[in-house]
Amino acid sequence: MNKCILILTGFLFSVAVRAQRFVFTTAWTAQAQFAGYYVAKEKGFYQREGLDVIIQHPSLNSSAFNRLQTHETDAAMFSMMSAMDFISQGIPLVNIFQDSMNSSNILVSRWNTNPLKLKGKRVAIFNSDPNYQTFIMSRKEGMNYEWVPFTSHINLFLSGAVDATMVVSYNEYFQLLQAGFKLSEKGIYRFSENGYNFQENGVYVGRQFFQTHVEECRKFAAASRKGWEWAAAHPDEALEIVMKYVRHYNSATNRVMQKLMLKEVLRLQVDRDSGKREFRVRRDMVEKASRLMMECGMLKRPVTYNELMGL
Amino acid sequence: MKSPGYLFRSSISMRLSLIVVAFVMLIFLASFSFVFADSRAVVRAEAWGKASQTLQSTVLHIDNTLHEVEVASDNLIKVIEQNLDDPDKMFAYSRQALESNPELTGCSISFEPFYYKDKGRYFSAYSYNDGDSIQTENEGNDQYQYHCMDWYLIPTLLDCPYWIEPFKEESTVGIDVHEIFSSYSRPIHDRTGRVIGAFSLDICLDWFSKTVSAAKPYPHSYAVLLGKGGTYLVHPDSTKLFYETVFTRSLDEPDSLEATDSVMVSLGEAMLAGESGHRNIVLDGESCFVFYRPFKNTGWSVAIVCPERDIYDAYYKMRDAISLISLVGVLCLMLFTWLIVRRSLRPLKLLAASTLSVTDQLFTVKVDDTRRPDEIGQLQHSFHTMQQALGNHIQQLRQQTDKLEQSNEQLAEAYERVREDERMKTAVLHKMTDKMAAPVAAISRLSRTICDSHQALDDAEITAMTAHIQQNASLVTSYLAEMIRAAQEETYSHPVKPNTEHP
Repeated sequence: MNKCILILTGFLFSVAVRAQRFVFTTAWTAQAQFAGYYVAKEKGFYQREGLDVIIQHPSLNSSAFNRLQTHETDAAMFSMMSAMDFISQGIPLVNIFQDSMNSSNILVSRWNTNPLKLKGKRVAIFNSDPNYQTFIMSRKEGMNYEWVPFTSHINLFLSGAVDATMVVSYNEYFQLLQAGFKLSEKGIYRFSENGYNFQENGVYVGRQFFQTHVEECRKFAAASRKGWEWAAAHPDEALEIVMKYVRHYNSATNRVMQKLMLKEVLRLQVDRDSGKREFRVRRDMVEKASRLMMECGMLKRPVTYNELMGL
Repeated sequence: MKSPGYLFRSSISMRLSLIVVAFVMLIFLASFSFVFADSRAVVRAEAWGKASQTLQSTVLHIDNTLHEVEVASDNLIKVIEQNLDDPDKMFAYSRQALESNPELTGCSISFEPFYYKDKGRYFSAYSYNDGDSIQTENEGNDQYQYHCMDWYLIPTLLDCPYWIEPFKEESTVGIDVHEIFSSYSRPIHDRTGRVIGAFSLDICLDWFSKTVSAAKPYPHSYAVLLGKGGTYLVHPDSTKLFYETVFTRSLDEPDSLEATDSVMVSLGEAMLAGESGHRNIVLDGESCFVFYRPFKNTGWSVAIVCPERDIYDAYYKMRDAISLISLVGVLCLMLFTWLIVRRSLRPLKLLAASTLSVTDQLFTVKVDDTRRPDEIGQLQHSFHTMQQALGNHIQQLRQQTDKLEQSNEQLAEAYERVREDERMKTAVLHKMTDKMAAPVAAISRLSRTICDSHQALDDAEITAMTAHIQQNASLVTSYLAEMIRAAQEETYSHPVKPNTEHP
């Protein structure tokens, strides 16, 4: 009898301590943009929080949003404006972790001219991204650009088929440099420097999931933050971890690009006002984004900070 | 152990051989410097010609094949544009393109969204060769939005044919080198000239890779193909393919950019600018010549990297062989010179030894009197003659010396005798003087007494004293007579003859 009680106790205990499975889908293929999450996984930060985090990457056939909708993933990464758009469309999402504090968007002129002087010209934009900031800027500045959605890479821009292209400072910006394209400050427009500095990627879950898995979400956020802080303190080791994922998923990149990307992503995590890595959604940015998106007709209704945070 | 300096100073043979060797080496150096420089220039010119020719033939070969694709595209586009009214024919045309051109791996005839209203947003007649057969399908859908692909966008926006950078139509699991294509795309126009779609022909990158990699003029040379953005499309290091560009390394720690990276950047810029030429750069610590040339229509550029050791291999072998032979030759020359000079100077060495014998007055030491007609022979002969003459002269000197010594001995003997005589005379004189001293003293005393006291003395006493004085005077006289006689006897018995002989 005593023996049976002992076995039963052991079984119950093992179930209790078994890590909670938590599937997280990143915003893109394996790259240094997600270094903190890889680090948290590899260094056992998730495990220490009792989570068995499975990191997935989206594909053209299966976007992060689709995966979240079909419950293939528990959490997915979206830009703050995308999440607000989803919320306004009636898809309740809750931010559980914010890793970006600044906008990485840059508009680059093909002809080394001020992008604000390219009115009505062709501008390449990411087909996989809603490009809210770009549209807002174009509308507010009266640029009337002709949008050319493209899938990826910079060949369209280099061919001269477009007059400008959208890039992010941690990826295509370096790809342009890597292609030998001469970038000058005159020919680039940094959104963050021109009144359009909005937080970008954060980790979101469905509201229902959030309500039933509050503790898991909190643990995920805590461990992810720890991962990013460790990556910032140990960029070389973090890069090694990133490259492990890059090689595993056969990402079309190289070590130098990933090194530059990690450095830039870490820079974008530092809040301009506090000078610290805060990993929080800023209420003022949500309000500003909501206002501008409403003005540009991108939102059906305003989205509040509380909604975004599941409060 | 004798130092080299001492050997150099003390040995004519060593000195001569070293001087000869140094001079010969000087001549060798001057000659070989010219020959090597000239040979190097010839080898380099030949290498450049060889590499350029390989490069040119590779580019020509690829350009020709690419041109075939362009011609196929030119031919089909007319048919397509003349049959726009029947969209279903597009599948047949795309299939026909592959059947007529086996080197093609895919063909798509794609249209703007809703160009054919009943076909919807996506209408792209796509045929591809799966290895066994040609498959045809409509490839556009929400997951594959071809309107956003480079191969569609670039030619339609530029409104001209365009060679697309190699691409892969997947984004989840990264790139598989064997599934990468390049496309020759061109816009499709309707009867009004409006761009309504794109016609694209695909070729597999393996074809490029094999052709470019075959451009190998030297054993360790390799070819590199750069895309429009400097991307390595062909490179022996497969980890760089499509992932890195010629500029990538320069972005890593740009503040501490190495000279090699700067040269690579410069090379990359020249290649992307469509220039032809060559550069001398150091790659992975090895000096290499890079010959580059652009393709005619694609905007790509191919380079052949030839390690300098390969290019100059024959030259280095020749240089090493000549250097080795020269070195051995110079050493042999030095040895032979040393032996010959040493052999030639051997009589001198013997003469030197003989000279030392002469200083020891050994005039009978044999000196080789060779029959050599040269200076050494003459010297030997002269020395031999001199040795004989010296010997004779010394012999005469010795004889005269002997005579002189003999005379000297006689003189010494005479001298000794004279001295003995003098000594004897002196002794006799002394003896006589001694004998005469008492009578003379007596005479003196008696005389003084008589002089001083003759008044006090009686005659008898004076007579007695006078007699005594006479007695003593007779005695002295007899002594003197005896001395004179002895002197006369001596004079006559040992006459001294003057020596009239001269040595």
